[in-house]
Amino acid sequence: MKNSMKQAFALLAWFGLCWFAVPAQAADPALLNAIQSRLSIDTVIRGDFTQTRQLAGIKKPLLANGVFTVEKTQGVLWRTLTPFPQTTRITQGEILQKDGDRVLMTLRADREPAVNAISRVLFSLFAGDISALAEYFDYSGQIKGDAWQLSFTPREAGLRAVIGSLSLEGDNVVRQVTLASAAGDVTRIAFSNVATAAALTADERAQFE
Amino acid sequence: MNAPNSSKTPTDDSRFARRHRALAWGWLGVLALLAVALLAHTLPWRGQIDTDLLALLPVDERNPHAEAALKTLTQHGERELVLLLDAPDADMAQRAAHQVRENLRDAPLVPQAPQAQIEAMRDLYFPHRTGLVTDQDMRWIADSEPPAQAQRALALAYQLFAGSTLNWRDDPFGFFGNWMLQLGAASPARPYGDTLMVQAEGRHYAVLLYQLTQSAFSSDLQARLAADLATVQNDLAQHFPDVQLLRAGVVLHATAAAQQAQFEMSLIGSGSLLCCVLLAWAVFRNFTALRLILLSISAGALVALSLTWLLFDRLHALTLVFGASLIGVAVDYGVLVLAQHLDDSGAPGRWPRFCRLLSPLALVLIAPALAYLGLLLMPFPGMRQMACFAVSGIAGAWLTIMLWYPYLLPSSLPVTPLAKRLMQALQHWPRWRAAPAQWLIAALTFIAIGTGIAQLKTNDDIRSLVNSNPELLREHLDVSKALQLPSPAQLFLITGATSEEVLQHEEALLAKLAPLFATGKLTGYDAISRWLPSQQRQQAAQQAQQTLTEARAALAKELELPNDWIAIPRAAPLTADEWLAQPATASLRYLWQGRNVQDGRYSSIVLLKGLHDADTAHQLATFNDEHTQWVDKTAEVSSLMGRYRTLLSSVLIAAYALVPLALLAFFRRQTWRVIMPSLLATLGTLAIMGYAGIPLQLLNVLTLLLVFGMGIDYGLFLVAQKSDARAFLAICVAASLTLLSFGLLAVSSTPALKTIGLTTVLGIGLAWLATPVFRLSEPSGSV
Repeated sequence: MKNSMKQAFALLAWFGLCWFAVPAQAADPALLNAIQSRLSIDTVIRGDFTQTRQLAGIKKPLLANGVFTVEKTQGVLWRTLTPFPQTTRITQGEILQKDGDRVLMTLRADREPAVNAISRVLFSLFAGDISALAEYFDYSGQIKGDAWQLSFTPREAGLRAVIGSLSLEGDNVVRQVTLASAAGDVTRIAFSNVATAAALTADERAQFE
Repeated sequence: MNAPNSSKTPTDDSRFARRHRALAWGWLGVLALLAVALLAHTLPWRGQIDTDLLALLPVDERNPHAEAALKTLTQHGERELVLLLDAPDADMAQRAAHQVRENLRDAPLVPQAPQAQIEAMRDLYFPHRTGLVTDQDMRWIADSEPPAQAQRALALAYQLFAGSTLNWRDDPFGFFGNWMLQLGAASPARPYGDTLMVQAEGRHYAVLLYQLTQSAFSSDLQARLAADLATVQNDLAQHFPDVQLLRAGVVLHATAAAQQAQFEMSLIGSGSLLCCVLLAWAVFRNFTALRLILLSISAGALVALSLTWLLFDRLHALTLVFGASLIGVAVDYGVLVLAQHLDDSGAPGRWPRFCRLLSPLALVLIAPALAYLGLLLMPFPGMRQMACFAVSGIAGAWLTIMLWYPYLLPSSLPVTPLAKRLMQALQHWPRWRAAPAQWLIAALTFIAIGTGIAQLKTNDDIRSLVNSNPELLREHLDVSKALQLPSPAQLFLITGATSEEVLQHEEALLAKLAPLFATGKLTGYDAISRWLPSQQRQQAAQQAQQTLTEARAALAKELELPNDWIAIPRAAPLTADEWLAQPATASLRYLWQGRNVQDGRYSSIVLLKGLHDADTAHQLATFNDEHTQWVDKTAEVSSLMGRYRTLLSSVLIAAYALVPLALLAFFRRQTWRVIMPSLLATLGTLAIMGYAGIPLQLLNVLTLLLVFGMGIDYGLFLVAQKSDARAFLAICVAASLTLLSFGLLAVSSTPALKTIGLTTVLGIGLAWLATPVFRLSEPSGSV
């Protein structure tokens, strides 16, 4: 029995995937509410993205383009088209990466409990559900006319070991996300042609199956 | 004893009396010494009463490595206390956890902070990362071509979210990230804010880990902790009615067992004593008689307590409970002697009268002594202690009677109405006369007994003897389930000449177990090689990484990396010594047994999770080889119990065959009368157990050995005293006392003691009823 009690500590060895929630205590709920009210939330948000990754120690920025779909209840479909096709699907129970039809990586919540937390953070990030993000991060931000900007820093040491900082910019939709890993890799994602819809297309539905 | 059997001449008498007087004084000296020894050590011994039920379990001398491993596991767990707060949502669980932590701030507990080791663990592995690759990734490296390899790294470089905690540059293929991830499979608990949480089946559990500041068996700590936990319960019920507290820890069971044992000890002890005094008073109505009975009891108790404490370091609470019931046995001899003095004023002097009792008194010691010696043969340390306690107690009482009674006995005791009625009852008791009708009854009885015995089942499962508070047991099971704890009583023991060999053998075993994990027959494991791969394996991983140079060259070109990035620097493998020296690994070190001082070999243990069916357990036993040994403590103890049940049954049969032979010298053709009562009682008890569906276990057989001892005494005394009514009275009193005191054992919540109590009540009851049936023809003229 008790032996594995202690293992509970040991498991913390790897903290890589652990994004954890801390009870929500909004620093400035008015700010969040103001921004949240600007965001048009519909059942489906879709659009194009341009992702620039600046890896630590590597000069060349890595550019990728693709399309994304966020469905309020199902999750996120993240389809990179260039430089090579790849699909990441984030749902409540799992995170799946596919290279065409070939599965590259599956993280399942029933095997790895942290997956639930990760998918929640990523989902909130793309869905523009900033109040959900506020559960995990301290934040500060400002509003200028229609545009707004928010910076998030992880509230908790374990999470800080993974994410250095996170920032969001937008107006009635999220326009840009910047994610800096604690180790130094920086990812910038710009969204364009963002549109909302009431339902998924048949093709998207099939991808969520 | 140097007592001559027949001392007729006055010179012999006086010489015998002188010697006897010297022995009596000597015995007084011995008792005084024992009393001093006991008093001198009472204070330091006060806290040394064992309540650990596991102390009853046998030690397997054939397998010192396994015993050492199990001992480490036990010690490792002894000071742990785990509290789980079961809540419908994570926030509530966490808030409840804060309150509980606050409540336990002043408790004799050290909280185990889960945060401490995170960075240290990663820092420990980082320099050795090229040697740390999972099985799956090793296969992938072997099976993939350089373009696919480069593609994987590239995909990770572009990937929105990477599994590794390292920069892409340091872990381009994600191998280290995957390796760290598989460590996470060791436990389902994850930090949530400042609290460790487990999520299972829609429930959220906050996990609080504590270490006791003192031994789990310290009565002071037990009392304080019980009070603190009660406060926790109350506060939770008040502020978090939806949160349920689940507790697990040796200390909880120890506290419950200590309270129970203390309660039972006083109940059975005082109950026995009270019954004893009341019965003796009812029969004799004489203060001298009462004083003598109490004298033999206290001398017996003094000898038992002091000798057992001198011979064993610690006294088990169960010994005291069992010992408390021996009051009823120790008093038997005194009663036998006293009964002979009822209305006996016409007898000659003190010595001739005492000498008349010498031979039966010497004989009555044989059977119980044999019975308790049988107990001493058992491999159960607890039982040896009980046997020692019983033998020394009975011997102490017996010696006191033999040496002091002659001086203290009244010349005659008046016959009380109760005594008279009991003695008269003998005449009305049916007696075996070999009449045709009696043969018919005998035949029917034997058919009934045979039918009952035919239905007798056996049960050697140790779990039926070890009791636990059911509430604690349920909580413990819930905690184990939520935290996916492995079974601590079933494990693989891995040995090798060096630590490296042990790790290699572990890896070989885990490879063999892989199909069982895949099919879900096992859900997980705890093993040191998960955290510390063998050097061989680390080198193989480094070797495999070298084959990635082509892919790395392609990546370097694509991403414009400097050429010196392409070659993977060979890192020194992580060694066992280095790993063990890290404070961060202290919590896992119980899995590592290290070097055995006796044979110089190294060993480790592999614990399994989710092992529920016996078939899988049998299958695991087939993985045994010279380095790998499946140790199933539960099954081992159960099979040991079975073996000893068989052995003890043979001892019992041998006793029934041999003791009559020994008695033949004294009783000649009447020997069968001495044996029949206890034989019938034994068979009758077995038959009743068969009809009632009570399975036969080691303890029942053991008890039947005690029944044999005491039952033979009854027959022996009645036959030796030529069916004297006074002897029958003595038997009635002795049997009632035994029934009362052992009957009180049946109220014990410890199944082991309950079994002993019930079987004794059945056996002694039947022996008592049967004894007068086989008496000699009516004595010439008493009462």
